[in-house]
Amino acid sequence: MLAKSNKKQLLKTVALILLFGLWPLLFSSSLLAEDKDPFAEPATSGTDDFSETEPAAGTTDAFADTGDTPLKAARSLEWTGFLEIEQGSHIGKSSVVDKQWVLSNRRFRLATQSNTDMGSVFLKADFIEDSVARESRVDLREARVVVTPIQQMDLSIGKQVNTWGVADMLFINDLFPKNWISNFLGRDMESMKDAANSFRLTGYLGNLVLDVVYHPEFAPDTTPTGCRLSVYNPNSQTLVANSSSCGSSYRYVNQPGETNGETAVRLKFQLGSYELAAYTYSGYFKNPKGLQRANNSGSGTGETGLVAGQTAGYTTLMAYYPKLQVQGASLEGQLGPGIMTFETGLYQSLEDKDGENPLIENGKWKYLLGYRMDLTAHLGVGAQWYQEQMLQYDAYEKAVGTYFPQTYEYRRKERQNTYTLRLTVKAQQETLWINLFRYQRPEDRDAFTKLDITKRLNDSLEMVVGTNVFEGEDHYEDREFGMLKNDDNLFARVKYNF
Amino acid sequence: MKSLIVALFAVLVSFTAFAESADDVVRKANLAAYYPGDDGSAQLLMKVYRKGSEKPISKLFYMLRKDLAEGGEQLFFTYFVRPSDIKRTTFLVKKYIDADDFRRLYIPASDKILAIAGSRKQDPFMGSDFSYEDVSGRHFSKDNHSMEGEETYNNRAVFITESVPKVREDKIARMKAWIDKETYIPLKVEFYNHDNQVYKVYESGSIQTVSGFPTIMKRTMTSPLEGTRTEILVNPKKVQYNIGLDEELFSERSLKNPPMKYLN
Repeated sequence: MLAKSNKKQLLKTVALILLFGLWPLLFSSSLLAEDKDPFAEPATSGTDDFSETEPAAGTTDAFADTGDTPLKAARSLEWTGFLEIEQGSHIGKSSVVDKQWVLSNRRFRLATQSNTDMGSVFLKADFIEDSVARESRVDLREARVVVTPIQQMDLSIGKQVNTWGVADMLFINDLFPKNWISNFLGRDMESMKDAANSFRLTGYLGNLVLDVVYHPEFAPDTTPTGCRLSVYNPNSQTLVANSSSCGSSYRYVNQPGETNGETAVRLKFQLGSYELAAYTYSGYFKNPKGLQRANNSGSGTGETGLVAGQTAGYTTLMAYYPKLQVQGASLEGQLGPGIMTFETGLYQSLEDKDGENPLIENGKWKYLLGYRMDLTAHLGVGAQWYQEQMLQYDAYEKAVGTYFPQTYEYRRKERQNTYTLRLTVKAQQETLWINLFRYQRPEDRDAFTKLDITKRLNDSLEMVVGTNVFEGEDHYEDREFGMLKNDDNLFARVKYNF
Repeated sequence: MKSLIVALFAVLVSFTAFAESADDVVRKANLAAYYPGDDGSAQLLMKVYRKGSEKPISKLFYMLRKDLAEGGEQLFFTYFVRPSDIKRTTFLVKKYIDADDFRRLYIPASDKILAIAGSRKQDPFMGSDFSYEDVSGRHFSKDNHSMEGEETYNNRAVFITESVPKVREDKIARMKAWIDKETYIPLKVEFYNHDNQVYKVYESGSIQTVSGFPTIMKRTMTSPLEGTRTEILVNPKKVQYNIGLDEELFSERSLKNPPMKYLN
C-alpha cells in the first residue's frame, strides 16, 4: 500500500508524464518546420551522368523521402538535450530506510557546443526536480574549454568528466569521482561518473599519449549516506538511516583544514593493437575509508585515541577521506575473438603506512584480469576476476583484535576476491538491449546484481526498466554491497531526446 | 586424340581467361565502391526500418576515410551527430586485409574509450542490415570469383559475377553481384546462406559523379528473411574526395577531440 504522500507523488508524476508527452509533439513539429531536409537539394559538384541513362537504378531523388525525419544538419551552435523521468522504489519495505520511493526525478538537460579555430566550448546542464531530496537543483555536467596551445597538446579546462582504466565497473586507476548512489538506484550509466572541476592536459607524441589531470579541489565519490540507501554506522555497528543527509549538499567530513587537490597522471603506449599504460595518483581515498574522533583537530592522525576493547561506546567516530597514493598499470587488446584486460594498482595508505591504525584502511595491492567477447551478433559476455590483497595484514589483524575484539571473527581477509559477469543481449535491430551485471565477493559475503532492459521506441523516445538486488550477511554490514542488503529496488525511466 | 587435347586445352584457356576476368571485375568493383580517391569525407544518414514499420530509426554521422594502399589497408573515422543522445560519439576503425580490424569507440558522456574486437565482421553495423564488412568493404581476396554472364540491369550493361568465400563462413555461402560495365559500381548484390536462401540484398541507387568519382548516393540493404531494411544516404552537399586527410587524424586524439573542420 502506498502512503498518502506517495500517492500524491504518483499523481504528480503521471501529470508530468502527460505534460512531457505533449511537449515533444509541439517540439517535433517546430523541428520539422525549420528542418528543410539538408539532403533535399541536388548535388552542386559533378554532373549526374546516371540521371538520364538509368532512371530505374533507384529512386530518382534519393533524398526526397528524408523530409519525414527530425534529423537535421549540424550547425555551428545548436541546443540538444532530453527530458527524463526517473522513478525507483524499494522492493518490499526497507527495514532501515523508511522510504518507498528512493528515486523520483524530473530531469531536463540542455547541451551545446561551439567550435572555432581557437578551440571548442562545451556546455551541458541538468535541471533536476528531486522529490526524494525535496529540492530542485542544477547539475552542471560539463562546462569546459578545449584549446590546442601547441600542435602536440590539447588542454581541457573546466567542469568535466574524466575516465580511464580498462576494467568494467571496477576501478583501480580511475580515481575520478564516481556516483555509486546513481548506480545503486538504476540511473543512466552516464551518471555513474560525476563531473568535477579539473585541468586536463593531453600530450601526443607518436604512439605515446600523456595525460595529466589536476583537480584543485578534492572530488570524492558519491556514496550512500542513509537517505535513500542504508549506511553502516561504525559507532553502533549497525545499518542506519539518516534523513538529514538527503540534500545534494550533504558531504562526509573531510579532513579539517585540508584543501589540497588531486593529481592523476597516465602515460599510454600503443603497441600494435595493444595498449599499455602506467598511472600515478596523489590525493585521497574516494570513499570515506577513514574514521576519526568527532573532536579530532586533525593533527596526530597516527595516534588513534582509542581505548582497547571499549571503542564503540567511548567516542563518536566520524568518517573521512584519508590520504592516498596509487601507482598502477594496465594492458588492453584483442586476444582471440575478444578483448583481454589487465589492470593493477598499488594503493598506499599514507596516514597508516604501517597498517596499525584500525580506523584507517590499510594499503592494498589490487589486480584484475578480464575478458569479453560477442558469442553471437546478439549476445555478448564479459567476465572479470579482481583481487585486493591487504598490505600489513598482520598489523591489521592485531589492531582489530585489540580495539574491536567483538568483530574480530568477521574481520577482512588478506585477499578479497571479486568476480563479475556481464551478459548483453541486443535484439530488434539494437532497439532492445538487455543488460545483466553481477558482482560476487565471496570473502566479503556480499553480491550485487543489476538487470536493465532498454527499449528504443523511435528517434527520440527511450524506456528503461530494471532492478538492483543486493546480498549480504549478518556481521558483514560494513561491506560495500552487504550494507545495502535491505535496499533491493526496482526502477523505470522514460527519456525524450531532442 | 590430338583434337581432344586441343579442345581440352582451348576450354582450359578460355576458362582461365574467364576466371581472370571475373577476378578483375570484382577487384575493380571493390576499388570503385570502397577506394575512390586517396581519401574522402561524407555526411551520411542511416535509416533502419524495423519489421513491419515504415518509421525508421535514424542516425546522422560523418565518415572520414583514408586509403593507405589502393585495394589495401584503410582508416575510417566516424562522428555521430544525431540522435542527440549519441552526439559526439566517435568510432575509429583501422581495416587490415589479413588481420582483424582495430576498433575503438569513444563515449563522450562518460569519457570512455572502449576497445571493440575486430573479428566479427559480419555483425550488424549500429543495429542496421549492413554488416561492418558491408560498410568498410569486403576484400576481393577473400573469395573465389567466377563470371556468370552479362545482361542489362536497370538499363545498364552489367557483368554478373559469383563469389564464394575461400574459407567457409557461418553466414555467407556465396554472393551474386551485378556490376556496372562502365563504372564497375556494383548495382546489386545477393547474399546467399548455406540453405541457398537470399538472406540479404544490396542495391545501389542514384549514382552521381562527384569530383570525377562515381558515387553511390543511396545504398539499400534488405533482409528478406527478417523483413527489415536499411538505407544509407549520402548528403550530396557534403561529400568530398582527395581533401588531404592526414594519417594522424585517425587516432585516439580525434576520438576525444574530433577534427571539426572536416565535420560540418
